[in-house]
Amino acid sequence: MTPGRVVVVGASLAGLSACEALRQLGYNGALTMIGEEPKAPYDRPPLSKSVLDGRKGLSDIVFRTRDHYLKLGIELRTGVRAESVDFNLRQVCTTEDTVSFDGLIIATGSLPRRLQHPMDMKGVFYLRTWNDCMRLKAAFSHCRRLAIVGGGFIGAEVASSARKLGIDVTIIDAQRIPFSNALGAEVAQRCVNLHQKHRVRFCGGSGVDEIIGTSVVEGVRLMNGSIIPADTVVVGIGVFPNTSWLTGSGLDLENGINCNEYCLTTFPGVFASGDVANWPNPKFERRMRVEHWSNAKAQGRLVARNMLSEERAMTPYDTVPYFWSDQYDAKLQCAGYPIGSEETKIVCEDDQYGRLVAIYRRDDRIVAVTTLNNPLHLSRYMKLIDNRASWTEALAYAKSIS
Amino acid sequence: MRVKIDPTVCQAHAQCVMIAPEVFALNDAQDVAIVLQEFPPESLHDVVLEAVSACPVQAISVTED
Repeated sequence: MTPGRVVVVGASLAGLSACEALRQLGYNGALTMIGEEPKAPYDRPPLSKSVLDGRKGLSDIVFRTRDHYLKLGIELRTGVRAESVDFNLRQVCTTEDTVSFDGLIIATGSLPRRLQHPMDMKGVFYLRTWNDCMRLKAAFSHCRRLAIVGGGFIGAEVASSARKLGIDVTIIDAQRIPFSNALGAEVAQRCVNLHQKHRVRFCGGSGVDEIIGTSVVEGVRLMNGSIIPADTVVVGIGVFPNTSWLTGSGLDLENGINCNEYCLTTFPGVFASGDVANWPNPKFERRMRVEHWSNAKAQGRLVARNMLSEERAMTPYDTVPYFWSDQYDAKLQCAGYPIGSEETKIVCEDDQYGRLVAIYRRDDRIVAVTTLNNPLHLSRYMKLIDNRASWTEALAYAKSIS
Repeated sequence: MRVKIDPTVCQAHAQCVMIAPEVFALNDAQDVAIVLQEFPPESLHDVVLEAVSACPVQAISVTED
């Protein structure tokens, strides 16, 4: 199929990657990318790291100049929010106008989950966008005591950046060992040790009752009654797919946008990509929705290719998810799908270099690997996962290189 | 095709090493990727381009050379 007019809703990595791939593949029809944020697409991972600690600015993280979009014939409409879509008329309604499409790529990403507190309470922050990051960075200049609600990767990276600036940090998490939902208890404990070495306090095992303060935040009260005093609170309790604007459109919106293995929705010529897409990944024989950088990039390219193909010639999105997290001087990398695994095995540990390699089993297969400071092993085990290697093969490989 | 890695940009994600081990490796300290074949044969061009795309920090450049 060669659509006459393609509209991409969402102007971040997944949307950009799709637009560029469409042009690379020879699509020369009209191409419009609509994004709610005022900035041209930029790289988000540095927001919790090098932008927050002051090493990088906007020009370092913007993906492309405005000229680039002109040159590629991509109409980039920033500061415009898509509000609904009509699949019969094949139109997207935005805050400014109505845009018709033949092909549509939905890549609206995710939004941070929020805690209940007065919206205007000063000193409470979420981190998703450039503007969020600038507000938090400004707060850091006079912050003395920071409480982070949520022991996930955003929280851990914010903690790392705050410690570099000499701020006192406490991480609060409902799990006894933060990170353990994502990585399993063994690896999570190593991450906790790393933060403790950098004098971050952990408050695990109790959820948050409320953020206390009147107009300005004063601290966080936990379910167990204790109070963590803080002049600044960062909430990093996960994200949810940004699909509320599609309610009533006819799309199946259970945990993102339900699509098939080609990332095609139930409407012809309508694809989902990035954080919003929930698709059956043939590599793992299960549905997933992945919120990582690498997924946004690769899935964007794939939906572009599939949009230009007849359905019988489409390529399934058969992928091994990958993400990383930089904390202090440690590099944590994870490939595969550790959630729901049945066994975790540490196959390499080297305290001198802070190296660690853990592999994860589900049924008789290796389904994930997590490494600390060991990108070489990450790449090797990731290849095994990509080749759908058995657990026995993975263990034999571990033995052969130890 | 000529392949280069900018060592000041590379952060050792090792995605290139996973995708095209014939062309990319890590240095001994595992803090930066290196190019094994600066002029890879045509049979490897597709995987090199895949590695370029997969690099989270866009450290790999490819030129016609």
